[in-house]
Amino acid sequence: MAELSPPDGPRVPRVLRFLPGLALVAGVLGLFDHVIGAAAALTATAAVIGATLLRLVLEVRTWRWPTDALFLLAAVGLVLIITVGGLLGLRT
Amino acid sequence: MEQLVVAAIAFFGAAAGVAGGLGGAVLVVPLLLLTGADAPAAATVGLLTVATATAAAAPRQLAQRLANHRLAVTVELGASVGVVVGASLLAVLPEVWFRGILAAAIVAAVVAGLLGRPAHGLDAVTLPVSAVGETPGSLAGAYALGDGAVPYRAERVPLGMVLAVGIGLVSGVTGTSGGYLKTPLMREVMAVPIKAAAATTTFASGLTAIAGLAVLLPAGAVELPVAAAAVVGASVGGIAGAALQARLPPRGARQVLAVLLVTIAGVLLWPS
Repeated sequence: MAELSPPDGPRVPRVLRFLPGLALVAGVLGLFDHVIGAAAALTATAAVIGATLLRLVLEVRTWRWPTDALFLLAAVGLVLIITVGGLLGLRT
Repeated sequence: MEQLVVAAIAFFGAAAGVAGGLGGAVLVVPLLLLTGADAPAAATVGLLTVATATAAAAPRQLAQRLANHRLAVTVELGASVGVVVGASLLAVLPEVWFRGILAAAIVAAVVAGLLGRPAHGLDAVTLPVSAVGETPGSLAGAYALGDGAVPYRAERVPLGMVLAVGIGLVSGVTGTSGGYLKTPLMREVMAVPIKAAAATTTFASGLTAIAGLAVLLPAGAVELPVAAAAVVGASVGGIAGAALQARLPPRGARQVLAVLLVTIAGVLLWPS
């Protein structure tokens, strides 16, 4: 069986290549106990979470109504569930 | 929690997880627990490890067009409900329950990893390479193989979504990605080929992690510097694991990791 040989794929958004690196650099700065460290730690956490959320948004933007209506609704539902989770966390 | 300990465990978990192909959080969470972390903190660091791995894998996965995002969103609609409920339960769950569920999840990961069917020789190339990608409006697609493409279509979707709720519950309670259960779910129940199922699981696991972190981070389960230590450890560990994976025999690495995980599960259940 031949090895997987992907065709000329879609261009990968530059920001998705950039965010993991940003998370690492900000994470290292976030290890230090000062004001910049706190901001950097927040940036690192936001970068790893934001990368996947951004990927979701970029994919969903290519889906079309009404062909992908069910999946668009599912994506909205998913975001709503995550939001409810955040509200539950804030109340704890 | 000491930042250095968290960074070291996240590094070790991500490196061993990537090299052994069983995921990092399933190693990170019990190790943190054994070093004295409480359940919500250990689960939060575990989910941060998952989120870091998903973010790092995104560029390669998008270039290969292996992951099916419509399938991931559909499965996660069920799983995220379970994750949010599971993560919310963490604060009130007795530790002995947490340890028991985590040990069961570890055993499930080991069994799924060791029994997983090989990816080769199962699929037939029937489409031109231009067909690679997702099919709009359906849970179908095709992935590249050689000079052509292998088509697939997800089956038993309602059952898959119901089972995903349970997998999400386990993920939320244990702070692991649940990928060790999601890939078999997509492969065995939904009839998705292993290559597409594994890639889709990586993206879906990132969404699982975000749903769990949405509950745990605002609740203050870990301090920000500890979160930063987890991201750093998992980032560097993922790179080291990928390098190790290229040098180690896959089956041997998986077996060593399996023995390690079963030992950890035993220690978790040992009466203290």
